[in-house]
Amino acid sequence: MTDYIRLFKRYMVLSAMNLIEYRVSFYLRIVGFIFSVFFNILFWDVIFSGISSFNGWSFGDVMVLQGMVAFYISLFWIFLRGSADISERVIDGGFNQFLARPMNVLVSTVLSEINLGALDFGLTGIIYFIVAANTGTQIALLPLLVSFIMVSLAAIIFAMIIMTLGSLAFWIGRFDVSEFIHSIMNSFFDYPIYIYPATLQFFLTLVIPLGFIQTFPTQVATSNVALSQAFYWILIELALLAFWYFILNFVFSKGIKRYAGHGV
Amino acid sequence: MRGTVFKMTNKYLRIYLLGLKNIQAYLGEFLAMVLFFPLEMLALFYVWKTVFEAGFLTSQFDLASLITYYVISQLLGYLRPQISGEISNDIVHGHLSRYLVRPIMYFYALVSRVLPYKTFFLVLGLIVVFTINMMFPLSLVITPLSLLLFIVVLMLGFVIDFLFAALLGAIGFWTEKIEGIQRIFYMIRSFLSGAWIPLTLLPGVITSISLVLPFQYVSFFPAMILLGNVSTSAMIDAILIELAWIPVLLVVTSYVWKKGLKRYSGYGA
Repeated sequence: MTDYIRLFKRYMVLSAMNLIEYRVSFYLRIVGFIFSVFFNILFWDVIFSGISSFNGWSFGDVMVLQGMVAFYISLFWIFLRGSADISERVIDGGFNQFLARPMNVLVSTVLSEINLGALDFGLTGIIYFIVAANTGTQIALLPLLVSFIMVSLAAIIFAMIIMTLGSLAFWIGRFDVSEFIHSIMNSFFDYPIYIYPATLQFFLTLVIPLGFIQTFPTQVATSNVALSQAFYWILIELALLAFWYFILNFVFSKGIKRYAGHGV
Repeated sequence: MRGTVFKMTNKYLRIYLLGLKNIQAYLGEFLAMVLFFPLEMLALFYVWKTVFEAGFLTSQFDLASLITYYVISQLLGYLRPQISGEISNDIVHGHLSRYLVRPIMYFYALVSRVLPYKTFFLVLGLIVVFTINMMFPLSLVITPLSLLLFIVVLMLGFVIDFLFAALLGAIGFWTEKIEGIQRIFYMIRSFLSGAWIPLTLLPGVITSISLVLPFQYVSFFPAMILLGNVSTSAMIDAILIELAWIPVLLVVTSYVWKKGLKRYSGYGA
């Protein structure tokens, strides 16, 4: 465990150094995100200028939902970015350096891609929360923390799903699954899943954990559901986590036996 | 003279045909379009259905025309020549040298490089739109004249877009990292072209700003033409405005490129 923490710290330092080296680019990205937030708020403002509630959601609720999405993206791209590279590493022999170490290959792969550059997404999330608070939406600390736990668990589930699918590259060759699924999610990211028919809601909750990334955490953070409901959702997430953990380990351990690479 | 012109055209035609042969390199993007375009429309359909059911009123759009608007504007989004990244990449990595030392015009070659997969996008996009139309009848109002003017407006819009991209890509002469600037530009352009929401639904000041800028001609305006919401005289006015923008952008772009080329250095070709 201490080895993993040391490795984690090392990659964090490296990523921070990289960020400092290209800080102008980082600042420009932040300006870009501020524009993106501004336009997104404008989009919702236009919609709410003509209606008082969006399927029962207020403007503030929708802003919190945007904040949750930004928090998820930030979390994923900072800590779990490496999960998207499995198929590429299978094809290019990128596991060699990790196989030579007395550490879990998947954990090492994920840690190696820590990227603090995605902090800017988190900053946009804060802007959304501030906008929501200014429109009178109540965001209490405990529900907010619980909702962050939900988003974090959903991010890990999602990382496991794409690592499992990425591991199929051991058999079928390159399969850029992360971008593929993220693009599907992009279409649905900004809206509560309740506006869709039941089948689609089911798909966006249990197949792609979008509901756990944005809709449910928003309901928890804005105290629109009781905390007991949040714990029920967390239990489902833990079950999904266990399920995908099992599947991932099964698929990856079978696949890695087919792996061949040279040099370290 | 005719022989020279033929030779020149032949060069770019070869690049185009080569691009067609390499079309499988873009398979992922094509697949993404075929899958995500309808999904995006599905999400937008439910969003706006919810909005209209909640009592949203606008004299310009109902649900069918708004979805039609999004289908057209998103399809046009796929066809846009987003090549500033390619240009800056060619500059930063020295690939531009290949064109500078050969009797070939960089921008013509670039267009010939981009056109094959944009052609393919157009064909695929039309199939997707046709399929969407079978499930959700789009409210298109097309006459031969409006279709002709739509094509002219769009072509000129793409030329303007291309010139902006050339200008943006030229930043590569001065700095290696242009993603940040590109991101800001594309964000503003995308919003002010009406890709997020029809420009006439925006607050007054922003609508006025967006209608002065030329970005609307690659998304909002062509979509409104196919919805039958633009008069013939307004279409002709738009063409004249586009024709006024092009020389201005041409002068600025060639000035910036001349300055940039003086700073450029590369080795090997």
